[in-house]
Amino acid sequence: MDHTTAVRLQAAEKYLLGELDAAVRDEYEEHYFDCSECALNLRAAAAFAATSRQVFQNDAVAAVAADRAGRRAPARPSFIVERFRWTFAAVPTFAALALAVVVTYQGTVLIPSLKHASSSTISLPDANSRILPLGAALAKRSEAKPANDTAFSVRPNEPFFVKFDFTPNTILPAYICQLRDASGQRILLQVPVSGDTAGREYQLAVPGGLLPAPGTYQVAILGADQASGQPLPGDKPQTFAITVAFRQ
Amino acid sequence: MEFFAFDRTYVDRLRDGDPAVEQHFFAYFEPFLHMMLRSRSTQPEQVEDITQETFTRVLVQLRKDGIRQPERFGAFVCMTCKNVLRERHRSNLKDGNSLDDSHYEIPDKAIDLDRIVASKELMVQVREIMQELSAREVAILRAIFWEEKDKDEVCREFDIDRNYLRVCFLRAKDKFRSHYEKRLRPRPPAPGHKP
Repeated sequence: MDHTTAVRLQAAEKYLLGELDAAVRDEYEEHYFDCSECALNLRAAAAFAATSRQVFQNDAVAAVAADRAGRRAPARPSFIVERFRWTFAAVPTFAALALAVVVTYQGTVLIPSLKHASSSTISLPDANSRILPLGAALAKRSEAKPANDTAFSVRPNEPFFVKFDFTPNTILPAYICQLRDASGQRILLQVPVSGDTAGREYQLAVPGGLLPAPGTYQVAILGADQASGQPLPGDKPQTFAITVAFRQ
Repeated sequence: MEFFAFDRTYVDRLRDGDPAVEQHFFAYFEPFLHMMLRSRSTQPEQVEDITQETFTRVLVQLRKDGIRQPERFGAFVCMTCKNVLRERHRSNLKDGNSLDDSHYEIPDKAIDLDRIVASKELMVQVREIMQELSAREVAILRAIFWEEKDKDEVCREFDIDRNYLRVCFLRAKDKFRSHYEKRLRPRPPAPGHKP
């Protein structure tokens, strides 16, 4: 395949959408590995798709927060409308504030799998949320054997924290902490972690409704580029498993 | 990350162990190899393994016999990776692991993009681009990338064909690309290599 053909075929878009048959896909792959223009085009298309996905996620969470804030607004009897006119300004203000808090949170915490959760089940951990204490789990990391001997029991939509000693193998200026499914393939939650956290205790906040089912999940730590927040190329994640049980 | 046509200088420097070129080599090809392997439903624990094996074989081959067409270095890396994947597949079959032919088929959905992490800066750009698009186009993108709906279903829902769906993606991506390109540019080029 030559460059003109790749452009004419809209090969990058078809490739990412899974629309190329096997033979054309192979030809396109051989081509884009060599063609700087097509390589850049494909990387841009992949980055756009991934970024869009995260933008939509954040919007969905913000919409839920706005809906909740709206439902919490107190209904005032008509006879006090004049007297408490300020509340009409205050309610949307608080709603906007609540929205801003959640949007800010979501700006740093990306939750791909929230789309699988019912919008009414999303909730963020707070000071009263339960904590799964794991101590030196990261140092004793293991993908196979869970760090907690007994499954951590939470209600299906209950937010919680995973607390462990943040002891990465390499000291870096920035990290990313992820919660992944049992296979490690799907990232459910991603949080930037400052390099200052290394050697200290860290709490990973897991929003309620994020986990689709009880079972084993993986906590992963990766080095990150300080400027872009992107994982460092070639950095092998440190991971350990946790088990979560759902109670009624 | 710099995107350029590969040539004899690049290949020679890589063969000679130039650290800057080696770093570029790993950083440039890793995402493409991962993308290619995931498009073939390779198990996640094997993706990294096969990638590393590919890098090793390419470097060994370079130092042993060199390559005849340096300008086709990328295709050489690509073919090496496919060979490693095929060998793993055969080895799995021999060991009795039940990988069937579908292992090599592209799944009928977009390639798994979860591992490509967006920066805040790119998210701002995407938001700006979405404001320029029509509400319908944004809804189509949402259905593909966020809701991960079957593309035929999306076409029925919006009364469009697959070409329109793809063009919708292409137009948004083209707007995004210039921002993305600028973001990639500030990195210094590999020593001795002209873009």
